[in-house]
Amino acid sequence: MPREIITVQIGQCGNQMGSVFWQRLCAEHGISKDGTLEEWATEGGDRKDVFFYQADDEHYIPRAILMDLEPRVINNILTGPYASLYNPENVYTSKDGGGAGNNWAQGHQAGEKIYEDIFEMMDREAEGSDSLEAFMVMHSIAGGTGSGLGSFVLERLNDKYPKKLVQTYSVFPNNEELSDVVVQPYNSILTLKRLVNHADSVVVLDNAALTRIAGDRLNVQFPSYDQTNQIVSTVMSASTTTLRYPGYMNNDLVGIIASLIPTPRCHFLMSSYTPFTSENVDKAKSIRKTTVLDVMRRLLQPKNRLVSTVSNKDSCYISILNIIQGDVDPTDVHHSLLRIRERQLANFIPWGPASIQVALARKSPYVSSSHRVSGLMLANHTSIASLFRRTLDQYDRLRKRNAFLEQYKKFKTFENGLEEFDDSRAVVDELVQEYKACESADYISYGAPGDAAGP
Amino acid sequence: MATPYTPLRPASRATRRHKNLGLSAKQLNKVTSTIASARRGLREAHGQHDDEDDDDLREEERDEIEREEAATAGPSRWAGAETSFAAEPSFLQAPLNSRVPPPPAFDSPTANTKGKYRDETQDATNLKGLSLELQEAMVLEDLLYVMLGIEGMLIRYSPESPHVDDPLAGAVFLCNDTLDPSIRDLIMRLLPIATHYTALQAFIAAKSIEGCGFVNHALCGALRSVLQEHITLVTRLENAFLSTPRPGEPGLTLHSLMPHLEPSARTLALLYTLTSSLLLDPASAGSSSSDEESDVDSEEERRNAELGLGGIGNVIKGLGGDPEEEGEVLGGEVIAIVWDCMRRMAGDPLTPALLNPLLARLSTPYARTLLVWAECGLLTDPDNEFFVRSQPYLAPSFLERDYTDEYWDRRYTLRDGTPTEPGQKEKMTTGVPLPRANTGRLPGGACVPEFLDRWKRKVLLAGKYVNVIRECGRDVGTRREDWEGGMDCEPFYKRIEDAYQHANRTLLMLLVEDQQLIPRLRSLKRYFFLSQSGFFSHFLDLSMSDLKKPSRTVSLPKLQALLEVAMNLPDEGVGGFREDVKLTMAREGLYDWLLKVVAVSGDLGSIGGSAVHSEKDKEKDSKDKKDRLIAMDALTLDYAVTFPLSLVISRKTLLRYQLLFRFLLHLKVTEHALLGMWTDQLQPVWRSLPLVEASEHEAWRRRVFNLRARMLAFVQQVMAYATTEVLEPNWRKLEASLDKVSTVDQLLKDHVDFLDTCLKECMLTSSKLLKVYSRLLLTCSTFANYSSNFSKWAAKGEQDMQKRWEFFQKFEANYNHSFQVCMDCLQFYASSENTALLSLVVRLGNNGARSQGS
Repeated sequence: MPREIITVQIGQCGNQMGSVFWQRLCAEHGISKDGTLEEWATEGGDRKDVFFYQADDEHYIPRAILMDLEPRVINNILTGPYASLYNPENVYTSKDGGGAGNNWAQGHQAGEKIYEDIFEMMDREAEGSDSLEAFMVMHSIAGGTGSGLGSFVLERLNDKYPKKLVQTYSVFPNNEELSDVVVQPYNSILTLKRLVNHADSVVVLDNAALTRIAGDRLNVQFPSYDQTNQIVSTVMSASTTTLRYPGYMNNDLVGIIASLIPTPRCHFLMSSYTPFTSENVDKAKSIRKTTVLDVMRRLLQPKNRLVSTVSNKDSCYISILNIIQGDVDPTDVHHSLLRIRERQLANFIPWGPASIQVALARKSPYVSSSHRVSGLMLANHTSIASLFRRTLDQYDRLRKRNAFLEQYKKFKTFENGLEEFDDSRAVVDELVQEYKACESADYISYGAPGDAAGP
Repeated sequence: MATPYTPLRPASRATRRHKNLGLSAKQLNKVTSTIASARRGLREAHGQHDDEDDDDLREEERDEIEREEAATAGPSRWAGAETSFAAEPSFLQAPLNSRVPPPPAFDSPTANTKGKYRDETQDATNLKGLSLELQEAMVLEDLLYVMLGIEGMLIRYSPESPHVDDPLAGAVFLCNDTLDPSIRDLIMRLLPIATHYTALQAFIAAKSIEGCGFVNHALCGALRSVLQEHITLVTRLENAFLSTPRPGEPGLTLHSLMPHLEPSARTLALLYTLTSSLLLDPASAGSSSSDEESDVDSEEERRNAELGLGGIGNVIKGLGGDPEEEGEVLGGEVIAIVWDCMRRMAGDPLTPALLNPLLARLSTPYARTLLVWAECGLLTDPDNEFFVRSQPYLAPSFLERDYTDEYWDRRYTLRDGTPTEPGQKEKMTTGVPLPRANTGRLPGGACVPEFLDRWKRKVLLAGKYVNVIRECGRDVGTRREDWEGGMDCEPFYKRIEDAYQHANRTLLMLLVEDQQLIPRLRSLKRYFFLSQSGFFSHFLDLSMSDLKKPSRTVSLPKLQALLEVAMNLPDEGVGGFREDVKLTMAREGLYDWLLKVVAVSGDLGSIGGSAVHSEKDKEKDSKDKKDRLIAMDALTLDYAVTFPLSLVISRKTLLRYQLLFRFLLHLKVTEHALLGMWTDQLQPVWRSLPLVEASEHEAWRRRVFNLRARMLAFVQQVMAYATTEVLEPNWRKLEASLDKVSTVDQLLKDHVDFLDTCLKECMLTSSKLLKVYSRLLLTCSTFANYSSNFSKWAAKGEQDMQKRWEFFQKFEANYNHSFQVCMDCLQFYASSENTALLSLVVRLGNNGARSQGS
């Protein structure tokens, strides 16, 4: 079927995100826990085939690949209510079950070993699709499996499927508080390099922001993983609604991403979503007023972003795509855009096409909602660099002390020295510089010969 | 003098006429033709020569004889006989006339000369010296004859009497000069009655022939009964004159005659004025006598047309290539004239009293025709009296290949050329007769009586709708021919209104419920506006390689198959009607074509006709282009629609859908190409970090990225504008109005308005905008086509920078320039005639414009 997307969920975090995401997709498409279509799901008009395919017995099977180096999370999924949804052939858990020990290098090296197994699954799924469009990778960059094995998968996907899009939903660690994983910065830097070089689009999610949103929006002091994952899955499903409920436009992933990412290296996207209500997430506060303008304005507020970044006065948007769901009068959209421009609520880069794109999406008819309009913003914003900058700082601090490097040296990548660290740091630093450069009008004009073209 | 129909002619003539009664009854049943008229001639001759008693016998033998004669006789054989009846057209053409005493003026030429001869020889009667009483008695006897239009002894036809040449003018009588002046004076006052009487009789004779229409026949009927009263009066007077007066009472004298005849005189005078205004000008009447010869031809033609045998000439005539000749005064025009006359003379109490019943009588057949049309959709109007006309050559079967809305627009029209749609500016000119020179009225059926003028559209439409329902094989109720009396009254209007409402309701039901109009329109939206374009992206993926070939080399069946594959995806279930969607290849690129259309007609209103026209003009020109036209630009969809639905989804509207589709398709394809370019530029050659600081290579790459991003943003913004701000909102408006719509007209109008608004707001109606917009889009797609060249260069690292910049800057300059022109143009139109574009201007506002200053 056309324009299929294969999801790859890696590691503890990735699998947890994935399992909530699939639950949500099932709910939106009216697919029951065992993959059969619910009797009431007759309204149609949706494209289940983007994420599901049908087995011979009409069951819908997700194009999902689950992999982890330790069996706990996946076992939970496979004993949970949605156990029979997944294709058991698409699940990989390490036999020894040792995990990656929060070590990027261990995860990466494990990948080498299980390459045959995991790419057998990938190839099978890829061949089973008519015109595969993208891989959607879910992982975190702090731990061992998600970052290490994730990096390995990214590298190999890029090799094997150079023409396919690779989009990742990457969860960044909470930089603001001490983590139980002390080597987080090492893992993050190493993974970031792969995200820069081998992913085509990265939706950055940040545990700090997720916790903050859970606190602010949902009034939960210490959100459970399930609650944060519900936030994430809401964003993921919203960002794919135009694919699953095709409208006039934006019905392929490339169309959505291409407008967001003008230059290939600056492909780190932030997202905002509003309003979160108890339908998406348990125990959410209700937000009464949802007009288009209201939603669009709220989407631009930093506190609704799923990433905590630090903006300065030069920070600006490279691009914005708003996906508005619900019953919307298109003229409202026009007025809202005008208003936002008048009030200069969004600063754009000085050198490129600078306007908010709005995609109107249909809502799933099977999921009821108390508010009229909800919105997702995917944005390419230069302040994302502050996140990388912070990671770099933490890395530098750790690296200066040469702390915890021993565990990395045990593995092949670092046997002969720590160049990989330095290289990764350089890549991330370059990225930060590029984002910085984007804020200037000179970004595209430096070095051009005489600029004869400029009128 | 006992009955009004007593022949007032010599006996032989009377019997001949009596025989004609049989003939004309027969004649009615025959198809008129040359042969038939020859037969009549034959019979006529027989009638004169044969014994007159054995009518029945002759009846039986006649056919046999005729057959023989038709087979054997040459025209020469009957030449002699023909002259004797040729002068009596009324015999041939007016079956009813045989029952009516013909006016003396209709006498054969021989009779006329005889009369004249008599005038000259016998005028010598001299009454001088006779006593007044005797004179009065003599002239009174004469007068009673003259009152019935018969020449007397003392009162004779005036030598200058016009009735010899023009019977319709009535006979003018002259009184014997030798009569006593006192008597003569009185007589002179009564003579106009005779003139009017004869004129009216002539009128009846002339108008009760076939081809004058029901209204004229009804008028003749009404006039006849008025004349009947007059005859009764004269008969009574004659009785009084002949019977001996009772003792003590004076006999009938001229003086006592006067008051008796007074009301009749006024009535006849009034009717005379009326009938004379119903006659054509003498000037044009002259030509009507020459109709005689062409009569047969025109009859034959008409019959041929009815049978559908008409040659090309007939079709042209039917199409109304020339305005119709001024015909007889008939149908609506008669009613209009009588109505006018009544209103003009409303001050005279006698006039309404006389004319009201008259009008009621002659309205009856007209009203029945009207009601049968409006209530049953049947048009029975053999003599073109009614203001609705049909084009028999447009049979329902014509619909199969009807590429315009001809059937709906032209099958039934108003004769006066009033456009069917209220919004339509220009009147239809073809087929509309010229107004009469003297009165300014449209002749014949084209003339709509004033009081019906505001109803005519409703009547036309009601009939049309019922007709459609009838053609769909639905029951439309039985025909009721029960209307009596005049039309200018509330009950009649109510019937029209009811019929109109009923027709509307029924047709609307038929369309919306039985024919599933709304789902049909939704499917059009789905396929032509790509409102759920998943299938179409898939189709583009499948067929992209084919679509890049020249349009002539592409296999349409293959593309059709691919489209069906794309549409048959399991999740594309909703929508339906996909079997009606067909791919076709247009002959020209969208913009070339639109530009031609806009150039020719100025707007898209007349898109169908003018396009055909201009296509012919520039066929040569387009031939070169056709070779270059690639399939992608020529691709369009078509949609099969069956009859009653094709009223709404007509070729004209479908054309608009196609235009919008191609507009969107072009955007989609360009977007597709730019996205392909974006994907190309994800490759490491584009992505790798620059090796040196401030690398020129990197600078060049960024510029390429940026230009591509700006183009993509442009294309996506235009598409977003077109879909979310034009098509979708307008569609919603349409659906909302379709919910409420109560008449079919409104539905049609809403639908066309919707499409026109969409076209306009999508910039497709202004040639200037079209030009700049299409150039800009062309720049984008060309740029995307060079994607691989750029990638090759990008792979070369820092080499060849000079060439690279030159190549790239051509595109950039071109795009910058076109974009600026396009924006200026958009801004201009947004602030003047097309305010909807304002939001597009806002959307495109920051398309990297600021970078141009750097």
